[in-house]
Amino acid sequence: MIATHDDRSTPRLPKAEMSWEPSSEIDDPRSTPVPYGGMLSEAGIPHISALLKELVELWNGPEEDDYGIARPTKSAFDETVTLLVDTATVLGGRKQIPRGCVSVDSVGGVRVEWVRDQCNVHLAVPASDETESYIFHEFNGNYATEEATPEGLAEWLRRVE
Amino acid sequence: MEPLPNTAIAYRAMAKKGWIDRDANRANPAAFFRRPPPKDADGLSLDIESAASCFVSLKTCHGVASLEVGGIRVLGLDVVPDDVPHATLAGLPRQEEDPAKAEHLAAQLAKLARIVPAEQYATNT
Repeated sequence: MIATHDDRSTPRLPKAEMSWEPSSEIDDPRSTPVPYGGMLSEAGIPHISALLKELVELWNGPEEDDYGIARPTKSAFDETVTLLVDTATVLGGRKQIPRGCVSVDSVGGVRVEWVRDQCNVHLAVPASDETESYIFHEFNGNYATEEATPEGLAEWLRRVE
Repeated sequence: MEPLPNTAIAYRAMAKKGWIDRDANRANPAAFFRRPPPKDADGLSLDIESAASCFVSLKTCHGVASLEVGGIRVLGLDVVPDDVPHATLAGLPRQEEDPAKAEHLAAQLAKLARIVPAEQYATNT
């Protein structure tokens, strides 16, 4: 059979025009920087979803308040999501991330605080990635800070009811 | 000015929603950190007149916490009136100076604080 060209068919494009790459910059500064942060916040996973939902609300909320910056920086947002998700992974099925509270400091850094009668665990993620995040832990009057890692955070959160 | 008696009550305006744990009805440590310079040069802002006076000091106030001055002094801090009803919670280190101490004191202040019921100060809640 002799091949024929049908004028109704989709025109063939040169190979160069067929390639596509996503834009490297998302122009809308309001778009959720970490796609799965938004998905996880709606996933209904006890406590971590609530924390991420609060974080996404802060991201979508007002830029400023009476205290200063009200919205987390992209760096702080990304770092917080990554730390919480990786911590949940380390904890695995034996323990969930406990209920906590999320807030933004006056310059766009993120704080997650787990406060109980006998203990405190705080995660402090700075506004800029030039400074290290840290964990504060206080149990029975003994307190210290340490570099924030998923393993470290999981270790302390295991002790929080 | 005369130092405040230990029984005096000072009020902290909750400038952010995340400063209050609504489920536990308590203030969070996040409410008790000094901002970077030049803000909060002498310490944290407090109101020593009333919860109502504290509430209207901000354009958007999410609540008011009360603290007893004597309890603050037990922590090694102090409440210094300046331009009444404004007073300063003095003695807190900045996070960048001493993160562990700043976090510990913030946690202790949060434990000391009591959330004032809104009906006691807000006229339009």
